[in-house]
Amino acid sequence: MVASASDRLDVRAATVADAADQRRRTGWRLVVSLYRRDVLGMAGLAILIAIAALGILAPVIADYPGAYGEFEAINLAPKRGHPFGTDELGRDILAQTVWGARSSFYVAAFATLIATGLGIVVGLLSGYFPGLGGDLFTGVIDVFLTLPVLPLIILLASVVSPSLTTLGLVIGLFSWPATARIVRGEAIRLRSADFVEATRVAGATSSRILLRHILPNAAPPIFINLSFVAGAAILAEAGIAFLGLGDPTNWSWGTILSHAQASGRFLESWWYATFPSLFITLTVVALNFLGQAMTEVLNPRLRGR
Amino acid sequence: MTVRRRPGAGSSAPRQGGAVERNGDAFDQLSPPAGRAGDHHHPDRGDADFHDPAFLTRRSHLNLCRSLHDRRDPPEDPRRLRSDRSIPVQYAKYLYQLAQGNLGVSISQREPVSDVILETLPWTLLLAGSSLVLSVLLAVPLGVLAVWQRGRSSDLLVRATTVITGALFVPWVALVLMNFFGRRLNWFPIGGAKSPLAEPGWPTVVDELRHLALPVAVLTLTNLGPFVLFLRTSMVEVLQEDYIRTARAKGAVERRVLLRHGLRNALMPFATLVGLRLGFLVSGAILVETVFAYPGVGRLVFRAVQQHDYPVLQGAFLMLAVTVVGFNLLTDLVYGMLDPRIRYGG
Repeated sequence: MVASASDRLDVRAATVADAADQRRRTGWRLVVSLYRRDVLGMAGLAILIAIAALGILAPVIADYPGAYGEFEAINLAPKRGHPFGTDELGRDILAQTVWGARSSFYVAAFATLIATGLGIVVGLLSGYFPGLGGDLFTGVIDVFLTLPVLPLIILLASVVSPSLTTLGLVIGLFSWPATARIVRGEAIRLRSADFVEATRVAGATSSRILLRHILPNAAPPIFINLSFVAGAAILAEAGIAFLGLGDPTNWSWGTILSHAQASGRFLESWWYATFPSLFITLTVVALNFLGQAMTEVLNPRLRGR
Repeated sequence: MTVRRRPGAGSSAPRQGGAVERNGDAFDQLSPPAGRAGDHHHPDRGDADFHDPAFLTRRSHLNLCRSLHDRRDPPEDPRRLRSDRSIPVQYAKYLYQLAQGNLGVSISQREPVSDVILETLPWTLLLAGSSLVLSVLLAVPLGVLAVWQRGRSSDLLVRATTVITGALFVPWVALVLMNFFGRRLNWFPIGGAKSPLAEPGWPTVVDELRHLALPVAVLTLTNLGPFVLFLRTSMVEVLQEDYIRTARAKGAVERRVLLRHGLRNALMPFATLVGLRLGFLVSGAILVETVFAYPGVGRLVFRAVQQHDYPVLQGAFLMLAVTVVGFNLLTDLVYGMLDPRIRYGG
């Protein structure tokens, strides 16, 4: 972390215990202030907050879209009262989209949680332990990194009972390799670092070294990767739901597109698919901007380039 | 995920009635217990097992076989499955038949799985391969442009575009392109891989290329981002090397520094990426092929999932995995040709 002259003076003035605290807060403040200067990162954050707000406020914005809509409002192009138009059963597409935001965010969050947890475990095991055990996990990571996973996700999604939770679980089960590779790299780098050697000499167990020393130091890249994993999960969920393997009892953005495809008016009624797709793209772009901004902010080597 | 074995379930069940032991033909890996052909109240159909995919897969086999058997399941029907054997025995038989090139028989199409897959694999390879080539052809100039104009507006434009195209939803891009180029301009057909009436020779080639255009465009557009960003990053890294400073110091012009010294050295990690991305292209091909009704492996997988055609699924995954691994091997070999410092086998 970059410490200015005044920071250093402050630290010297405080007691030793306060000093650590002070430095940490300065670090966080530094990160926040650097992030604020990143235009794309702030734009991404704003878009995400806006879409999340739409999802949270869904009950205020529109009624939950039922199985049938209004008879008089079948297949309307966007107009006053139905800003996103209506589908072939007279259901408001705005309502579907804002309610869909909830499902899509839920699936993505759950999948990201699982993928990150799995990635951390596999990455630490493969990177920290030398020899056959580590090599085995490394091989598993390599296989999952190269194999086309969407067919596997589709297969598994077709076998389990479709619900938002199982969908998130299935996507998470196949989205961990990128995280695992990052954690593995960090673990290999830190394994032979002087402070880890020192801890080992002091008698710390492997689990203590992994959890107390390596994991916290590997946290920034894991943190950055969260947004990329979430973006991929949003797209994966939409793809699976589009193929008709989503949760039939919940609206998600992919489900809307699946309905649009099934209606047979996919080409004529452009508004069925366009608005949910736009929300998907906006969300994923926002997550990517967030991730890139975080990379710049959290990686001191990239600063000032 | 383990397959639970309870008394009365699966293969451990004592045979009821006169179990007809059929000759072990080539397709005997999975078949319904012959004595329980009409037994619809099977003890292992409890809801407690519902979330166990491996079990469910096997149970679907049983149900399916039972319904086939209800229609008299003739012993000569090659689709007969023998799920009365234990799982290890089934797996050993599967491997044995696999070694002989036998992938089983498609439940829905009554044809050997290998034939079904070989019909579709060329189309997917054509689609993913063309997209891969096109991606490289587009990524190299875009990446070099971004590095050359680093920090300026064209660099930002290239980077923003790659992020946005990577976030597009494949079926929607397909929809837009279909509507514009297919329906409004009528330049390209909006589905299928070929016209039935095209004359052999050049007209067929042109016809197939026209069918290929939109799917390849969608697949390339949505997958281009990582290629460009990766090339840009590795060029930026290469340009910080000492030999670049040497090249500049001896007076090489910027174009020569960028292309001869920068690009050539950045291409090596890039080649690895190209091999690795094939798996992603095949993944993306599922959606593209489904939307465009393109008769490739992706669409085959999708339809097999819908029809619960497990032999086809099993075979298709195997073929995809083999293809991807094969391409990775190819990449490693190309890597050796690009970088004279790497020599294989001593």
